[in-house]
Amino acid sequence: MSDFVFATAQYESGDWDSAPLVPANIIDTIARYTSIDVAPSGVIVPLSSPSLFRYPLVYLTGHLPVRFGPSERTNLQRYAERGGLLFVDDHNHDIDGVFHKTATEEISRTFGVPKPLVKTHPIYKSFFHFEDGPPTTSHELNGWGDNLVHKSLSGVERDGRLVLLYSSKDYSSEWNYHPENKRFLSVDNTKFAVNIVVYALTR
Amino acid sequence: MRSRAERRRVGEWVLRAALFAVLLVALWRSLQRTDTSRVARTTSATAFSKDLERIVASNAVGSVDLATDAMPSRADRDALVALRRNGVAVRWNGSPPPLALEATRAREPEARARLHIIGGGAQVLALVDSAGLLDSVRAGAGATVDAASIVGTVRVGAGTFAATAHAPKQETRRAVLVLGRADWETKFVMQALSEAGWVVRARIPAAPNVDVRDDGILPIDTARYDVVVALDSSS
Repeated sequence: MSDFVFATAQYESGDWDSAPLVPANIIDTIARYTSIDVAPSGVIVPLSSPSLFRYPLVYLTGHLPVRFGPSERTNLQRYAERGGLLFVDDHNHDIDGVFHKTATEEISRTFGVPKPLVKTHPIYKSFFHFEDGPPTTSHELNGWGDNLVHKSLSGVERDGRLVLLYSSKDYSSEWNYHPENKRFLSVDNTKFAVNIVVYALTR
Repeated sequence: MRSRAERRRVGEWVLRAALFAVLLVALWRSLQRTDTSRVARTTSATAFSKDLERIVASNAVGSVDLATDAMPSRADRDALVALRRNGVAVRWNGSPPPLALEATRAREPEARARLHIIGGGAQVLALVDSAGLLDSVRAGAGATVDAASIVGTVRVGAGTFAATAHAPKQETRRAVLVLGRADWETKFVMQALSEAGWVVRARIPAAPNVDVRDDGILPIDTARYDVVVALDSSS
């Protein structure tokens, strides 16, 4: 059976493991809402490793500056060409913070300049329908950090398929809790993760 | 015992049959009659086109002996067929080398031309098309060369002999529909097909009563799809 395995990117610079509970939470969400066979635990995959190609979706986050080494960049470029999707989320939720600046620079050098995604992008209806675009996070609504709602995600596409999805909305903070605590939420705030996973598996 | 009249009757029938047989033989031989006044012309494949005018102009040429020192051109081959149909015997001699060329199209949407060559032994053969040199190959027992595109007729030559071929026209490829579960196997099959140049559509169940599909609600039929790939992930 070819299970979907949630992969977290390990990169040479920065704190790649800043959101350790996100994989378990997303795995729980996938299992709840879909019939996708998902492996019960995630994996950590170095960006420069050939094993990167085993995972159609790789999640990358952090607080600190990001710099890709030459082998990481080459690997990521091939990964994008071969059908992979890299989901990068700024764990800071600020404007022009160090992670945002460095990550967008590295993304531009590696994949091309990311462009804002329109509300009608297929990723917003790949499973659940998000008519208003990306769901806002509690950090945005509570006015923490930059006190700003980032209205859109951005991405880089190849032949009509996203190869890079970039978020400044700090989903890493939003989803970084134990899945058992979902019962305390009136609305499951991890549903958008299902869209990302389904998009990655079906495009 | 037979009467004299009966014996005479039998004898008459035997003589009639013999006479009839003689007449048939004479008729057959008259049809096979060779005109000893007609001559045989000896020529070669390389010189045939120059000799053809003299052969046609002369009523005395009864046969052509052609030495195959080269591959006769299509026009020369047509002329030889015409001569034979007009009563001029054509005889070939020589030992041309075995050389064959076939051109096919790959099934992928890119439709690269595949050239299959046999013959030529250990010598290097040049593959050319109307635009110029494509490649060179030692075919021997057989070789295959892929070409991104070919222009006009493809030709491979070994000395004065050559084989030619035309590649079939490129066909327009329709999409591939992939049916599978939402897993990495389906994902990578779709990607591999995309990399091979196919337009890929998918119908993938992601949850009970939830199918992810990018091919609309139109039925599956040959007007839309060349291939349907159904992945059995339950095995």
